[in-house]
Amino acid sequence: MTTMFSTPVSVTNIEQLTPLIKAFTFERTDGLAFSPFSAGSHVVVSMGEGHDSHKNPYSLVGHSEDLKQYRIAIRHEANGRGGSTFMHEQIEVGSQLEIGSPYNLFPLHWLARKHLFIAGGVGITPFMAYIKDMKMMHKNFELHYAIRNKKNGAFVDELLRDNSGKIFIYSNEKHEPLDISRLLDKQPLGTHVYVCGPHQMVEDVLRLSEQLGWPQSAVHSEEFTAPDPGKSFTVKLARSDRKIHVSERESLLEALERSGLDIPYSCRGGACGFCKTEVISGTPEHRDYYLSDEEKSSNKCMMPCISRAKNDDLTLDL
Amino acid sequence: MNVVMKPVETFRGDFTYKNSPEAVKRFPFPYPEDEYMYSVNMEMHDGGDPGSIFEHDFDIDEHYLSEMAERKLVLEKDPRRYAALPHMELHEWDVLELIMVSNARDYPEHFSLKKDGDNWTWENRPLGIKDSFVFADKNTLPCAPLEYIARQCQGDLIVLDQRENTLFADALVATSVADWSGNFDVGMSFDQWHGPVPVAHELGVFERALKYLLMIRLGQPVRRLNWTLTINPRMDSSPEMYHEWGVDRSSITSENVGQLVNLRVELQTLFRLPRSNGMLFSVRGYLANMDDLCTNPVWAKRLYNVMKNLHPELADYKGISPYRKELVQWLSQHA
Repeated sequence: MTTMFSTPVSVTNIEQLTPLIKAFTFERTDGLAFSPFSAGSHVVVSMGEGHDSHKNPYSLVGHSEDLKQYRIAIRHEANGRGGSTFMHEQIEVGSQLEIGSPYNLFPLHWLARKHLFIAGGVGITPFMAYIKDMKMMHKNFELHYAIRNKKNGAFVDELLRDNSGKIFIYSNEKHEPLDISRLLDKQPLGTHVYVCGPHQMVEDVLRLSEQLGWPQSAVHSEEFTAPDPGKSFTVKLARSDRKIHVSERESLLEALERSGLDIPYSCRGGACGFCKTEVISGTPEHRDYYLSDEEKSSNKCMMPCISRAKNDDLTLDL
Repeated sequence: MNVVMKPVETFRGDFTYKNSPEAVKRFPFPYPEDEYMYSVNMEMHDGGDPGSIFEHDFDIDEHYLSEMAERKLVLEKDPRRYAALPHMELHEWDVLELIMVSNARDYPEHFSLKKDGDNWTWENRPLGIKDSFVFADKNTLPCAPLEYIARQCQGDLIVLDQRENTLFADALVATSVADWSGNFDVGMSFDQWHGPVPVAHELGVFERALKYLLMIRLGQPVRRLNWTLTINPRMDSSPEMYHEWGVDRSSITSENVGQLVNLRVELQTLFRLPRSNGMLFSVRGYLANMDDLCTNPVWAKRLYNVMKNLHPELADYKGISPYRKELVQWLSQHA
C-alpha cells in the first residue's frame, strides 16, 4: 500500500451555521481544481503541530461548480479529543491545512428504487451531497432530518428553500418527533435507508429495520466514532527494535505516527481497513468494525487507529 | 512524445495489422520469470518511462485509427457489445470525464476539452469529431456516454459498481475480448465472472485481489498485465464470433507459427470513479506475432521456457493446447 497523498489547502471561508457547528471552505494552495467526489465521501483533515496535532475525518458537504472549493461542516465536541476544538478555535480564514483524497465508506446504493435518508444533528452533512446527486440523476429520494430546534439545525434555511416536496424537517422544540418505526414501515419495496446521526438514532434505525424485515443490504449507516481513550500501554516494534508508549488519550496509530512511522489510513475509526497491521505476539483489544471475528480471535493482525492493548505484551511487525 | 498514427489496418479478413519496430520495442512483455503462474500482480499505475505504455493513464499508440475502425465495425454488426444496467448512468459519465480529461491533458496535439459549467466541448482531431454537450444529460450525446467515449479510446471498458463488499460488472463496451462475452457477463459479480479461471482459486488469489481492489483510492489507479495467445492479429476473439476464429487453432504448423501465433497482452488498469464511487476496469490489448517478438533474443528465450513449462490447465483454459507442441518446437530454435 502506498503512503497517503495529501493536498495543502487554505481556508477561504468560515460560516457559523449553528452555535456549535461551523462550515469551512477550502481551496487548494496550488490554485488547481479538486477532483469531483461521490456523495458520502469523507476527507481526513490534518491540523496543528506536535502535541496539538490531529487528523480527523469529516464528511464532504459539497463542492463549488468549478471544483475550486470543497466544503465541510464540523460540530464542536467540547469533550472530544481536541480536533474539533482546534478547528473551531484556532482556524481562521487564511489558515493552512492538509486534506487527504476523498474516500467513501457511506456510498449510495445505485440499485435502490428509492433512497430514504434519515439525519440527526450534524449527521446532515453527507446528505447535503446526496441530495445534489439525487437531483442531478433524477432519482427518487426523501430526506427526514431531526433537529433540536431551528437555531441548532445546520443547513435548515437552505433545506427549507427546497421545493421538491421531498425534504421533511422535525424539530424537537415544536414537538414534531420523527417516528422512525412508522417511516420505515410505510416504505415501498426496493427502498434503501441511509442513517447518519447520534448513536441512538443509528441504533434505532438498525434495530427497527431488522424487526420490520428489511434486508440487511438495504440498510446503510455512518457514525464517525473517534477512538475512545483507554489505559496507557507500551508496544514493541519488532522490525525497528523499539518500544513506543501509547498514552491514555492517544490512539496506537497516533503514537506510531508520532514515532515517525508512515502507516496508510483513511477513516481513523476502525472501518476502512487501510491501517491493518500484523501482530507478532501479544493480545490486541480489538475495537474495529473491519476485521472478521475469525481474524480478531486469531490475534494475527489489528487496526491501530482504534484498537489498543490491555497490557504491555503487544509486539507489532513494524 | 508525439504519437504518430498509422493509416487504418485490419484485425480480420486479410489481417493487414503490423507492428512497427518502435511498437515492438514498447510491447509490454509480460513474463518476469521462466515459469508463469497466477499471482496478485498489481502495482500502482502512476506513470512510466516516456514513450512506454505506462507513461499515461490511457495509452494511445500507432494503431489508434485501426482499433477505432474495428470497434465501429463490431458495434455496427452487434450493438449489444455495449451493455449497461440502468443504475450505471452516473458511472458512465464518470468514465467519459476521466478519459476526456486524461487524454486532453496527455495528448493535447490530438484531443481537447473545454468546460463551461456543465456545457462541455470535446474535440478529437484524429477522428474529426467536435461535439458540444451537457454533462450528465444523455440526450445531448449521439449515444450513451460509455459507448461514445469507447468509440474514441483503445481498449475495452468495463464499468464496475461497488456494493455489498464486491464489484459488479454492470456496464461495458467489449469489442476486443479474449474469449469472454460482455453481453453474457454484464451484471455479474467479481466471484461470478472469475468462476471459470483454473488453479487461481486454490491459490487464494481472488480473495486477496478483491480486498485490494475494493480499497482503491481516488487518483491512485492500479494496473496488472494479463496475457493469452491468439491466432492471427484478431482483436475480437469473442464467443459470439467463435465460428469465425475457433477453427484457426487447428491451422498451426511449424512453418506458420512465427506469423500466425500472436501474443496478446492486456494492460488492465483500475481507476476509482469519483462521482459514482464505482470503478473503471480498462482492458487495453496489444498484439504481436512470434516473429516480431523473437527479434528480441531475451524475449525469445523466455517465451520458449514459459510455453514449455506452462501448467496444462492454464494451457487448456487459454486455448493453447491444440498447437502447443508446434509452438514450443518452433521457439526451441531460440533456446
